[in-house]
Formats: sequence, structure tokens, C-alpha cells
Amino acid sequence: MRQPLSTLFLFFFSFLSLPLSLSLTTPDSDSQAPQDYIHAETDYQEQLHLRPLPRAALLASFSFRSNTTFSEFTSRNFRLFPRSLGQILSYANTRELHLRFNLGRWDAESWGSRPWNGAREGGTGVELWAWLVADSEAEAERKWVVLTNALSGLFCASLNFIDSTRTTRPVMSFRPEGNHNDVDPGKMHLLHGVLPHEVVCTENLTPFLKLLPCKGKAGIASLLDGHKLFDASWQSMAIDVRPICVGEDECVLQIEQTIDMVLDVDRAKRPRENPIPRPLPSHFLPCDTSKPYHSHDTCFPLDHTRNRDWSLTQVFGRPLKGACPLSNPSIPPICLHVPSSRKVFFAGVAAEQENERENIRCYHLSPEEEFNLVLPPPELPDADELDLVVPPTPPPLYAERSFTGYGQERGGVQALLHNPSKAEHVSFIYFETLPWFMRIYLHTLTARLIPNNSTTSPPKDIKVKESVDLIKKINYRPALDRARPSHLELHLTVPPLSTVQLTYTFDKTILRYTEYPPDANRGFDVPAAIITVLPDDSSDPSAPSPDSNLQPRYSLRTTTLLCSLPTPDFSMPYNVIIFTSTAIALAFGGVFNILVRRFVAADEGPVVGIAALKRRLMLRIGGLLKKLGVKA
Amino acid sequence: MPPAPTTLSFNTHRARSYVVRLPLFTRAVLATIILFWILGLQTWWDVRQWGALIPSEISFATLYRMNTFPFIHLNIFHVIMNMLALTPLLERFEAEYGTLTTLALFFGLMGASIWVFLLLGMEAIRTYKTNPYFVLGTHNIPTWTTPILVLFCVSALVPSASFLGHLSGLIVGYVCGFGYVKYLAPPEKILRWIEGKLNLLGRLPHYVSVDQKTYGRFGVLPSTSSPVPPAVGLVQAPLESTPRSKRDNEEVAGLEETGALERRRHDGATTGALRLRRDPRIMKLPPYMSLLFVIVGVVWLLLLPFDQYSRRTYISENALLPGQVHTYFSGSDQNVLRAYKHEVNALVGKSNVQINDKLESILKGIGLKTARQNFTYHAAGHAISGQNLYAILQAPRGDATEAIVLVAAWENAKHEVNRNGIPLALTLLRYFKRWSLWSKDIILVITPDSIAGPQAWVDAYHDAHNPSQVAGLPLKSGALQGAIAIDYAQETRYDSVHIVYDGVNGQLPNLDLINSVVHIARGQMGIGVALQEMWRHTDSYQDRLSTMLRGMLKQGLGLASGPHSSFMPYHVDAVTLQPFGSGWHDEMAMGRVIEGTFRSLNNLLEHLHQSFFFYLLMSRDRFVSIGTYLPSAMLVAASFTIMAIALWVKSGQPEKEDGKESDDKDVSTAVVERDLFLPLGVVILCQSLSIIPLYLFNHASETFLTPSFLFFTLLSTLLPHALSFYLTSARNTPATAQHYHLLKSFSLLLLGMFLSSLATLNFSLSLIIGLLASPLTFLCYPAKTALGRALSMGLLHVLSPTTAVLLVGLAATQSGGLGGVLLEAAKAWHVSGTWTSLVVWCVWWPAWIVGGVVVLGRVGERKVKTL
Amino acid sequence: MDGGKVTLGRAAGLYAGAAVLRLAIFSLLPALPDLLTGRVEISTPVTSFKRLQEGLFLYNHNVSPYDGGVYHQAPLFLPLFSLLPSYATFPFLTNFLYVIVDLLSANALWKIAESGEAGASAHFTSPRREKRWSGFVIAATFLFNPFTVATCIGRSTSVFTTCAILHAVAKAVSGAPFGAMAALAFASYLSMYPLLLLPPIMLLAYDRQNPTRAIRSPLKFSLACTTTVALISAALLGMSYLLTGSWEFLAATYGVQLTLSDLTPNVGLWWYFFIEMFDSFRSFFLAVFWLHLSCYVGGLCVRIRSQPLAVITLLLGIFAIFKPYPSISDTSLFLALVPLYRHVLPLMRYSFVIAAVILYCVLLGPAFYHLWIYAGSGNANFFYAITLVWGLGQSLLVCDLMFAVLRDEWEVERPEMVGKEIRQI
Repeated sequence: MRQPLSTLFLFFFSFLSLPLSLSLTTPDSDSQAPQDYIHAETDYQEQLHLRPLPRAALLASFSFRSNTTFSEFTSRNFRLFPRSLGQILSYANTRELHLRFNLGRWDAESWGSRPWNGAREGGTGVELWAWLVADSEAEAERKWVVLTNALSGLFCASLNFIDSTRTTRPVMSFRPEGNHNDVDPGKMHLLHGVLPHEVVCTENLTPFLKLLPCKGKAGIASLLDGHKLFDASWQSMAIDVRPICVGEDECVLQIEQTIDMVLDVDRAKRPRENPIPRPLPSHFLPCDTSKPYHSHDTCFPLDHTRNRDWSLTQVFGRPLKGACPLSNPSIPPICLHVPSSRKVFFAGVAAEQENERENIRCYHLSPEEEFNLVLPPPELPDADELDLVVPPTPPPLYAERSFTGYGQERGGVQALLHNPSKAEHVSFIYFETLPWFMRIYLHTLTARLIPNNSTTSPPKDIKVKESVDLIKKINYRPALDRARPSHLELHLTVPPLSTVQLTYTFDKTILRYTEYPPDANRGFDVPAAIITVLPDDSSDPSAPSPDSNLQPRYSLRTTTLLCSLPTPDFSMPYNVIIFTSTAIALAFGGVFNILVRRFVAADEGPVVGIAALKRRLMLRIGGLLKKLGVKA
Repeated sequence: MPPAPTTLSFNTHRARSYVVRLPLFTRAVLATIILFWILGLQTWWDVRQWGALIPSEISFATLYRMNTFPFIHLNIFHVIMNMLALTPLLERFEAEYGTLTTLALFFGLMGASIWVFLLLGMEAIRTYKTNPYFVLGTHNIPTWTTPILVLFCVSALVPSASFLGHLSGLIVGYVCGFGYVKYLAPPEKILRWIEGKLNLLGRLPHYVSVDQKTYGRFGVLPSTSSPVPPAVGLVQAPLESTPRSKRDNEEVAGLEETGALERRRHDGATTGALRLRRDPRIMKLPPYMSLLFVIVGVVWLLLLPFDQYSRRTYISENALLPGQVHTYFSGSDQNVLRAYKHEVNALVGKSNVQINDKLESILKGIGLKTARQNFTYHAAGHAISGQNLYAILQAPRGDATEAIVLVAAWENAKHEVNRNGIPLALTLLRYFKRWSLWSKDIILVITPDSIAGPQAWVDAYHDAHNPSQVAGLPLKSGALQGAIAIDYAQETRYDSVHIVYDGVNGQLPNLDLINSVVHIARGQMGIGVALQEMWRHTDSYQDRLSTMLRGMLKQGLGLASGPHSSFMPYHVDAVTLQPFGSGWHDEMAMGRVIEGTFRSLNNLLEHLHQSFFFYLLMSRDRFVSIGTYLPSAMLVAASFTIMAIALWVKSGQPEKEDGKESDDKDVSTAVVERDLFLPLGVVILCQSLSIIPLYLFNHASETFLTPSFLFFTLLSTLLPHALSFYLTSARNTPATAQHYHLLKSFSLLLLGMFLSSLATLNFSLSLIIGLLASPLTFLCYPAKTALGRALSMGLLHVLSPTTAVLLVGLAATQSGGLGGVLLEAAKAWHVSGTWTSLVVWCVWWPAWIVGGVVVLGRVGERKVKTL
Repeated sequence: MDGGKVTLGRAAGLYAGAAVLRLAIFSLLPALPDLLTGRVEISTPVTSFKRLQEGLFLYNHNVSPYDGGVYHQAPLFLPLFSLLPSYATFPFLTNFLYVIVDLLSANALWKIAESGEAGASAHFTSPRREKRWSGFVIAATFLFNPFTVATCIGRSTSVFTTCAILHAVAKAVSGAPFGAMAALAFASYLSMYPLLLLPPIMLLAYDRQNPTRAIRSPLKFSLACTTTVALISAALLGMSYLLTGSWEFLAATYGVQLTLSDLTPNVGLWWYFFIEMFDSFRSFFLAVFWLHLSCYVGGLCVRIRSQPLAVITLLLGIFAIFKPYPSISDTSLFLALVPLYRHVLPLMRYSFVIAAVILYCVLLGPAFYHLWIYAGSGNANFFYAITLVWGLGQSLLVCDLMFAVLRDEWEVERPEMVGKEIRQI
């Protein structure tokens, strides 16, 4: 009975497939052009894109999107839009909100460019930026505090630690994604804050799923398991709220939640009850039998041939419990990106819909049936890796940032920005928020052009000239002690096939002993640098051009850094105060001692001795006795 | 009345008499402080925990802390600082108020909150008393600031203490400030009664009785006048307002009529003190004192191995949890290891680049990011060049903030190929890749040699490299938290692991690292552990001593002893593990030891900072911490300073024609003017000359090293003669004995200074040099007879830096004799920045030259003019 | 005439020698200046040359240097240094400026020494005054003092303050009250604390003023001086306001010295104290420390009224210990004036101890700082202990010098006590 049913489905959806292929918003396609949003205003849609990557990695990007009209929103009528979040937004006058929870590193060398062009990820930890409507900066900051506190409660993250010392107002790096034509641009305030040390974990996932219409009980969200998600090599949870207007008529408020993770298939396939990577039994070990010394107890491993096969239930640890009934049925919930040459099996009621050109296969599911997807091992076992996966597209820019120098007195920051493309320049914005206790010296900022991939530093004389024409624009706001971080935005250009080395130095401040965290000797986390690649270096990034939304930007984040500050001895306050006071007292006493007393020769001056005092005593007693005698 | 001595010279009697004069309670306090410090050395009872003032633990039950905390100290520096600061104030206070009062006040209920206050309240009283002489407005502001300052310190710093305490402190403060301390202190009558009953005056020495209370003040630092009678007018000035002023007047009258008696008694005391001070034997004391210091220093060192002085090791960083994890490195990984071993054996004899090519392909196959680095050092005409290969295993869920390093040099320090170490490292990395629990990146560094390669890599990692010699690193990770080096050249199975831990310039890794390795290897794997090449260590005194001495020798030489040495200067704790002996343990066991250690390091939340960085290990589980062993080096260094001071004083005293002080007492001790320029000039000249050997031996090419050294030895032998010839004969006015005293004084002062500050950086080197140079203290008195001069000069030549280097060269035959030693020194200077040669040539050598000059010096005849 | 020529020749030789030494260090050891600039003993947050460069950079790029936590120095430095060519490209002129400033200070010192004020002031003439060093020797001790050289090589801006103070004293000695007050106003504009020197310098100027056009009434004189200082400082501040366009530089320069918001370690006693201080008591102790620093002025002026120069010397010594951000350049200023009292040096009791203590600190300080910051094997207490000892050693020097000066005075009225043991009651 099942087979005809599936064919029926297939038949039913086959004519839908053409228009629908437009509406697929894959993580790789250039990020949301407005016409993507045009279809059905108040619907809910969810989609999972699976994309095997080299080295037995699997990129899974979940996206959940629901719209609500402004009229419903203002009338507090929440259907699919999460009420809790909606109330916070309306209370804090937030027009547009972007919240990110990130963990791990994206390995651009082997995985290529980032999903959603990096638009749906943040730096390690928690990152939050929002456009608030306020009349003054002060009011905007008040709203900001309200927003962070409310969100920290909602997502069980310590977002409330984003205070003025972590908040900046980027100028060039961010643009609103939605339409705000109805608001006076002067009243839109963009605030941005990062918590690099925040560890993202399950307690952040649960409230995230609670926001979904199906609450993770059904649909692709039912695959999300904390253990697998947070065992991933890289994962990013994002929430974006933005107003979308279609032409002049009704605007909708759109919330989009995405989860992207790169699973290590080897680790993911381990059963939950036995996660310890014990050595394989030797007969399972794939060996290079061509080696002369190959024998039963000697084996040169061929690791890259393992783990090219997986199934949905294996890697996610649980089956997919059908589609979410609330979701738009016209959107296929699952899409798999593999070369059309590879075989793919699926179990359960579904309709496969293949797109040869883009190597995409999508599956329409039925609401109640479980679904499983199986990718069998390749026919010839030692096939080249790149034939088995869709070759990743190289990113427009590679960025790596590290500290230079050692010791707890001063240091330097060095960012290596490599442009892989052979032809065109890459122009981008390098944005850093540095905590106030890093006193950076901007006059030491140099951008050197390193001829291709050679790490030897060029002679000093050219660096000035280079920095002149590499750095187009500097937007710098120095830090104020205990009040605000330093905010550095650079507009840079890298010539093709070359690397730019960006360096500057800073001093490490010693803090009051009450300002250190309990693990003072670990160091302080420095937020990731945010790099936004501009579509073409001609356009001035700060000027909000009307068509800027049309041009996609590619953005990436460097890793966070750990800055170790000098620490005082925390057990000392009492002794320090006693010692210093004593030293001061000694000097003070010495000076005034000499000042106020007169000199005499050693043998001059009045004399006192025991005898004298005894005599004195006798005199007094005698006097007393006399008095008594008189009385008597 | 004997002529009073002058105040022109600093003389040791002041200090001495001051110490002698310390009153009872002050002594008690100092004694307690020292006592508690000594108590702190042992381990079975944590004195600090018991007595320290921990605000969180202040409760009514633990109020005793308020009295005990001042005795509790962190380390020797703390103790010294505290005693320096406390003694003068406390002494004055007690001298003013008497022992009983002090006792009562300092250990009353107020306890701590009175401590500091009263010490400064004393200042206030003094200023107030002397107000008539001091016209600064009506409110003498300075008087008030200090007491309030400290008063508020106290109230500030004991947050959970009762408000009553503060209030009483405040009241006491103002009462004291006005000089009515008697109202707070126990009434005099009672005190006097107690004293009368106990007859303390007779019993206790240095007891300051109520009657002896001297209101007079001494100088800011101790002057030497014996306990001074009070100026009556002054004393009573603040008390005029009290009803007892009438009585005071009577006292004055009483004093007047008994003036003569008092005067006589006072003179007696003075003459006694003066006689003591003028006793010429005092001036004969310092040489013996410094000799005593040297001997005590050595004996102290020899005592350390005993159980009473050394402590058992322990893990003080709780996050490490060594040996708490089960290790899974076994099974089919051994097959992989065998395969890698085949690959590595096939590479032996290939060029550095070929080796790296192959290894890099393997590492890429494992799935790591790899990069290379070229380096070329130049030392003594040699070019030490090579190419490092390193791979980074990125922590699966971490970001690149921290990293642990695994070093496997292709050749170990003895130039044996690391046949097992490299395959083991590769297999381990492949195994680590499977775990997802790493919170820190793991970096595998494969260097062609054991000294230059790691140095180049670490330098470049911290961007402290010289770009012309060492290439930068294309690939980086986070802050290095620790490093383990595998030196596993032996083919056969082993039974123990040898931990090499000495860094460059005697720096040491955090003791916790060594302890965790020991803990894992012995406790978990059952592998023996040895230190300092003590292959068999029966926990006897001799073995402990020899372990300690070997360690000190290595630190003193300051050479890099393995791949780990280069990491220490960057505050990265590192050790090298060498299997040795023959037993049943195989490579997998070694791998499990390293796995366990990495798991421990991976647990770290903070950079290792808890345990000790200065220690001497006597066996795998006994050590001495700096507080215990530093005094021996400090004593040796102090012996020089003492002599310097003594000579300074002596140079200030006039001399008879025969050049020796007479012993009769009524010699006028007017101090002669010192002529500083000649001695200073000579000392500075010698110091600046010392640049020559330093530069010569670090920049001459290998062929010229030995001849230039011999030539220099000849020169430095002749130099003292030339200088002394210039001093005695060539100048129109020959140098006087005073010149020689000052010369020696300055050079010894410098030597002591250098050594004591060196002792904090490299204890062993400072001690070794100090012992070798100690004869300079005793020999260099300008000898009277030519024979004595010749003898002592000969002894000096035996103990000269050049001879020492020569002897080392002769001893080190296997490393190429003298030339080899000099070459090694030059390499160490250029590659790993060892500054042992700096110390030898710029600290010891100049002092030796000056010593020679003084020995050869003949006192020219010149009548010194007196002031 | 002839002697004058000789001294002139010697002066030229001395200055040339000092200049050559400094310029040679600048050119032969190019790494040394930046190394010294980084040392906490030499450059403090309020005098660091690196911070000056940063401020300059921001100033030239139209960012207010005072709207940040780095630059805490006087605004007038900005136009001065932006006139010079950029240090990165053409450092010679900047170095030369620093050398010139040192030489000017030495010249002022020479004037002070030649005036003989130390030995014989208006109200007191020391019996020992014959035993004195010439201006040549004193200028040489200043110019070749390692502390001075290090400060100059480290290009700390405190050399300007030093120069201004010395010129104020020199003017006062040479009977030019107005010049003295102007220099003093400039010094206190640069780094605030010299304002405390106003009373002794007024006394000095009053004693040494030119008999022809003298203001006899002390009240009038002091009023005139105070108003002069006030006016000139006001003018300087006004210029700074016009320069930076706002008053925020006050908080960023003098405010930082008053509130010690930048806790970078230095050789003084404040930093660790306020690192370990409880927040609720911070302001109180700041007040107390400043009060303590200023309370010496009155006492010294009253007691040693007859020798204002001695008062200035001692005060400079005290400032070098108890300033918020002291550095060895303050010590070098103090040590520059001490040799003026060559005649009372034999009366000092602890000269050897003082020398030993200071030398020990010079060696141990960097060692302990290295152990704390770089080797990581020591903690902050190491360096703190050394700063404590350094402070104690210097205060011992101050007290001992004071003792010597006072005893010198006292022996005028008690000539028979020369060379006798004495005590104080």
C-alpha cells in the first residue's frame, strides 16, 4: 500500500516543484533578498539543509521562519509569533533584533564559505545587536538595558552582563535587514554587545525550541538533541526579528530562527550510551595494504575512507517525527546537497524532488510518519573525497587573528587577512570591540601587504605607504576607563592573491582587586573581530544606500582571544594598607620629629632614673601621709 | 666627662646597641613573628589558615585572629618587610608606655584595631607634646592625619567586626592623641603594684617598667644614646590640663635638689655605653661574622635534605586531578604505532626537509593543520639551521584561546634519533583527534634538534624572534598552558621515566606539573620516576643531597637541558620525559602517561599559578621551597655586605703611622674625610673592562676561542699587578690604606648586591659564585709582608674565574675540552639567551680584579687630614 | 674675566659631552629608547612618551585625546610636538629637544650653585660654606646621573617639569620673582604638584629680590606672587581650552592625578595601596594621601625659614616619594639639588646605608618586576616590597639631610658642639 501512496505524493507534488524551487532559501544562496519574503505573509515554514563536507563532516542548517502582520502584533494577537518575545520587543521599542549563540570554529580552509554567507552567526559566546527607536541616546541605552535583562531571562543566558562597558554603536558594519521607512532614521539607534565568555549549552536550546510553533515535538525540530548539537564541531543558533514590507501595503514582522551545526560524523555516529572513542578492533581498522610492512599487527591507517556513510537517525540520535503540521506544506522540510552521482535512500512516506543542476534533493514529508535518510558508502571505497561531496565554494576572505608578545605588561594584536581570489580586490570592514583594560595605541596601527603566503615581514620602509592606501577609512572611539570599550572600525582593501597583516599594540591595565573575576589567572576574553565583506569597494559603507539591501554582504568572525592581565595578591589588602601606612608614618614621624625638637648635647638635658622616680614616689606618699595626718 | 663620640660616621655600634636596647615586648613580638614564620615552614599544621585574617572567617569565635594575623606571613620577604616596618614604631611605643601597658593594649579586646593605631598615635602624642615649638595653626593637622588614616584602615578592613570595636578604637584614638592614654591603659598605680609584687624589673631583661618610661624621643632611626631621661617640661606639657599638674611641679622641685646624684648615675651609664662602642674589638668582629655567615649558609644547605627541613610534595591546583581519568590509549592504536615506527625508521638519515615532507603528509592524513618554520642561528662562526614542523589539533568545541604543546625533537640532546618518540607522538595525535573533550588546542611540534628548534618555535610563537634569523609562524593558536616533550630514543622496553625539568637560566616549571606527572606515572601506571639522572634513588640522605646538588649545578650553569627548556622564559611550564632502564613497560604505557598528563592540563581553568616556582627537589616526592633555602644564598651574599660596611666604617677611622688602631679608650674618634674618587674610579674601571671578555667569548669564531681565552687569562693575571703598580708607585701620591679599604668596600658591596638580587632569579648560580668568590672577603686585606702578599695572591689566582673556566674545560673532556665548553657557552648565549657568562665576567671577574689589586696594594705613607 | 672665559669653556665642554652622550645612545642603541619608555620606573601614565604619541595621533586626526583612557598629559604638549616632524619618520629633532631640555635644566642648576644660596642665604650663613662644589661639578652630577640619562633616553615628559622647576628656583635665586613665578606656573600647569612649591619659592624670591626694586612688605609680595601664578596658570589653561575646545582635559589630566584612576605600577606607594583598597574608602584615603603630601610644606617653611632653598630641596625629595605617579626622574631632580649641600653632607649619619639601600632597590626592583610580570614566578608583592624599601630609603635620605641642615644651623649658636654627640629632645 505504501508504494502507491508515495508515488501518489510524488505525482501530486511534481507540478509544484517548479515554482517551489524558487522559494527555497538555501543557506548557500545569497542571503535574503526581499522578494524571498513576498509569499504568504502569515505563514510558518521550516527547512533543514544537509550538506556533507570533506573530512567526514556534515553541515546541517535548520531554519524556522514565521511572519505576523503589524496589525496583529500591535493588537497583541500572537498566532505563530512567540508571545514572550513579542512582548519584550514591543516593551523595549525594538524594531529589529539579532541574537546569536555560537560555539566552536568554522574551518574555512576545508569547509569553504559559511552558511547564509555568515549572516546567521555570531562570535563565540553570545552576540546581540538591535535597532531601537528612541528620542535620545540616553533613552536608547535605557531601552537597551531593559532589552538585555528581559532576553537574559528568556534565554537563560547572562545577557544582562552586557553593560555600557561592552556596548558599542557600530557605524559601518551592520545594516538593518528589514524596512524601516516608517521610522525617522534619526531615532533609530543601533546597539551592539558581545559576551565572549558565555558558554552556550542546553539551557539555551530549550527556550529556543519553546519559541517554535511545534515546540520541537514534531517537524525537523524533533531532530534537535542537546547532546548532538553541543557535541558538534561548530554550531550557531540565531534569532532574527525584522519588519518586512511588501511595496506600500501591509508590513509583516518576521521572526527567523536558524540553527547551523557541523557534525563530526565519526563522533555523531557513536551511540549515546557509549561515547568513549575506544580504539577500533584491529580488523575494522581501514589499513593501507600496499605498505610492505602491512601485517596483522601493523597497520598504516586510512582514516579518510571512514565515515562517509551515515543515516539521519545515526547522526541525530533520533528519528524525524514527520513534518510540523503548522508549517507551509509547499516547502519541502528536508533538502540534501550531494552530487547527483551518489545514491540516497530514504525510509518513510516522502516525496523526493531532485534538482540536478544544484545537486539538491528535497523531500516532502507527511505530518505523522517517521522519516529517515540514509547515505550509503560510495561504490569504490577509496574514491576521492571531492567526488563524494558538493565541492565547497571558497570564501571571499580568510581571516585569522592572534596576540603577539608575551608577559602581562603589554602586547599586540595581529590579524592576517588573506584574499584567495585571483582577480578582484576585496574591500571589507574590520570591526573590533576591545575591553577598556586593553589600552590600545592606534598610532602603532599598521597594515602591511605580505606578498603571497610568505610570512617574512617586509622591510619597514614600505609599510607606511602600504597602510596609507590599504586602509580606506578608520572609525575609532577610544575606551574610557570603566565606562566604555574601545570601538575600532576599519575599511580595508586587500589586493588579489595577497595577505594583509594588520597589527597594533596595547598595554594591559592592572585593575582594582575587586574588579577581577574569581578565575583571575585565566585571563579575560576579547570578543571576536567582525569582518563584513562589501559587495564592491566603490560604495561608501556608512552611507545607507536604498539598494544596499539588495546587495548581499558576506560576513565572518575571527576567533576570540584570551588576554591575561597582571594580578595583585588577593590575600593582601590588610597587610598592604598596614605596610604603606607604616612607611608613610615613618617618613612623616621622622620629618616632624626632626623639625619640632631642639638639639642638645648628648649629656645635657634633664635626667630621669629609677632613683629619681622612687624619690618622686616617696615625696608624693609623704605628702599624702601629711594630708592624712592633718585630717586626723 | 669623656669626650663624646662624633656622629660623622655610620658605625655598627648604633645598630648593635639599638638591637640590644630593644625592649621586652618588641622582642617578644619579633620573636613571635619569626616563630610563626618558622612554624609556617612545616606542613602538618597550616598556620596561615589558622591565624590569617580572612574577613569571611571573622566571627566572634575566631576573634583571636585579630591578635594573631600580624604574626602570619606569606614568605620570607613578607616577614622581613613586616619586621622592618614594625620594629621601630613598636620599640618607641613600648619605650614610652611601658611593657605592661603595651601588652594590655595590644592584646586587649580591641586587639588588631588598636595595633597600628597606637603605633601612630604615638607620633601624634609626640607632635602634640612638642606643640609649643611648632607653630602650625591651632589645629596641628599633621598630628591628626596619621592616626585617623590608620584608624579608618582598621575599621575599613574588618568589615564583619563589631561596631563596638571601631568605636572603642576611635575613642582610644582621640584619648591617646591627647596624651591621656593613662585613662585607657591600666592605672599606673596598679601597674607599679604588679611590678612591685612580681619584681619584674629584676627578673626580666629589657623590661621597660612604668617608671622607666622615657618620654624623650630618639632620632627617626635609632641613635645610640642610652635610655634618655625625659625633659620634664616637655613631658608634663600635655598634662598641664590635668589635675595632677601641681604634683608635677613638686616633682620638678624634687628633681632639682637631687640633680647631682642623677648626673653622676647618668654619666656612669653613658661611659658604659661609650666604652662599649669604642671597644676596638668590635671592629675586629665583622670578618668573623661574615665567615660565620658563609659557614652557616653552607651548613643550612646541607641540612635541607633532612625530613625536618624538606616537605613532601603535594598537588595544590585542585583543577589538575592527576590520575583521576581512565586512559584508553591501547589496542589497535599499537598497530598504528608500529606502522608509524616503520615509516620513521625509513626516514633516518634523510635530510630535514625530506623528513618533514613525509611527516607532514602523515599529519595531514590524520586530519590536522600543519605548517613549517625555518630558522638559522649564528654562534661562534657556526650556523645552526633547520626547519620545524608543527601541527595543530583544534579543540573540537573550543575556540583558539588556549593550547597545550607536545614536543618531539627528531634528535635528543645527546643527538640520538628519537625513534620511538616521533611515532608515539603521531599516534597520540591521531588518538586525541577522536576525543571531543579537549577544551584547549593541542600542538605537536617536531623539531630537528632539541635546543635551537624549540627555541626558534617558542620565540616565533610569542613574536619575540629576530626575523632575520627565525621565520614567523604562519599558523597559530591560543595562549600556551603547558608543554610536554617526549625524548624516547631507546629501542628496548623500559621500567622508569626520567623527568627533566631545568629550564634556561635556572628557571623551573610549576611544581604542580612535575607532581602530576609523577602522580600519573607512579600512582596510575606503576612506572618508576627518576630526577636529575639519579637512576636509583634509595630515599637516603646522600641520595637526596646529590639529587639536590645536581639540580643546583644544572640550574647554576643555566644551560638548556632539553626541548622543554625554551618554554620556561615565556611562563609556559614544561618538562621532558625520558624512559630509561630495562623493564616491561612499552610505548603504549608511555603514551598513556602523556594522555593522562594532557587530560590533567586540559582540566585547568587558570594558568598554573598555585604551587611553587622556586624549589629544590631532593627526590620525586620531597622538595624545599624558596622560603627555606633562600637564606643560605642570602647569608653568603650578606657576608660581602657586612664586610663592605665594616670596611667603610674602618676607612672612616684615622690610623696611626703604623697603620693600626691603638686600643686605649680615650683616643679621639674624629672621622677623617674620605677620598672616594680614586676607589670609585678603579671599581668603575674594572666593571667597564668586564665588557671585553663578555664580548670576546660570545663573538669570536670557534677557531679563535681557545687561543683568545688563553691570552685573556694571561692578561687578567697581569692586570691586578699593573693596577696596583699604578696605585702604589706611578701616582705621585700613593694610595693610602683608606683607599684600599674603600676600594674593597665598594667592590664587595657591589658583589653582595649583584649576588643577592641574582639569588632571587637564579638561586644556585648566585650561591655557587658567592662561594667561589668568598675568599675575596677574607684575603684581600693589604698584606703586610711580601710573603703574605704572594701567598694570598697565589690563592686568588687559584680561585679566579679564568681558572674556574679552565678547570671546567679540563673536566668536560667528552664535550671537546676547553674549546667545546667555550663553544657551548657561546651557543647558549646566542640561542637560548643564557646569562651565566654575563654573571661570570661582569660580576665575579671585576670583583676578583679589585681583590687582586687590594691584595697587592702597599700602603703609601701619607698623613690623613682629620676633619 | 679670564676665569669667566674658563668657566664658559668648561661649561661648553660639559654640555657638549652630555649632549654627545645622549645623542650617541639615541643613535647607537636604537632599541634602547623604546625599551626605557616601556619601563614603569621611568614613564608613568602621566609622563609616558608612548601615550604622548598616541595623544598626538588622535589630536592630529581630530579625535579628542582626552575622550579616552590613554592620554593624561598637558594639552600644550600636543601643538608643541605636532610642530616637530613625526617621530616614526624623523626622530632626531624630538630627541634633540629632550637633550636641549636637559641641558637647560643643568644650566639652571649651575646658576643656582654659583649663587651660593645653599651656603649663605639672607638669614643664615653656614660656617662650613667654604666647602662647596662648583656649578660645574653639580651640573655634571646632574647631567651624568644615570637616572637623568635614563629619563632623557626614555623621553618621559617629566623632564619639562624638571626644567621648569629648576628655572623657577634659578630665577628666584637671581632675584627675578616674576620669572620664578612664571616658571613655577608653567611647571604646575604641566604636572600640578609643583604648585606646592609656591610658598618656599616665594620665600626664596622674597629673600633674594633685587634691593633696588624690592617689595618690602611680605604680604604685598606674596599677594603679587600668588596673583602672578594664578594669572599665568589661568592663561595657560585658557589656551588649552581654546586648543582642545572643551574643559574635559582638566578631568583627564589633573583629575587622573587626583583620583588615581590609572593604577599602572610605578615606584611610588600609591598604586598598590589603591589596588587593594576597598571601594567605599577609596575617596577618603585619596583625600588623606593628598593632605599628607601637602602637609609638609607648612612645617618645613616655618622651621627652616632661614634657608628656603633647603626647604625646596627637601620638598622635592618628599614629592619624589609620595607623589601619585612618581618616577626616577623625580628622584633625579632631588638628587640634583642634594649636592648643593656639600658642606653639610659630612653631618649626615646614614649616607652609606642610604646609598646601599638605593643601589639595592635599583638592582632588585627590575628583577622583581620581571619575576612578577614576565617570569610569572613571583607575585605583585615582590615589586611592592621593593617600592616600599625605595620609599623608605629616600625618606631616610630626606630626614638625614634635614638633620644635617638643622644641625648646621644649630652649631652656629653652639659652636663648641662641633663634632660632638648630640640628641634631640
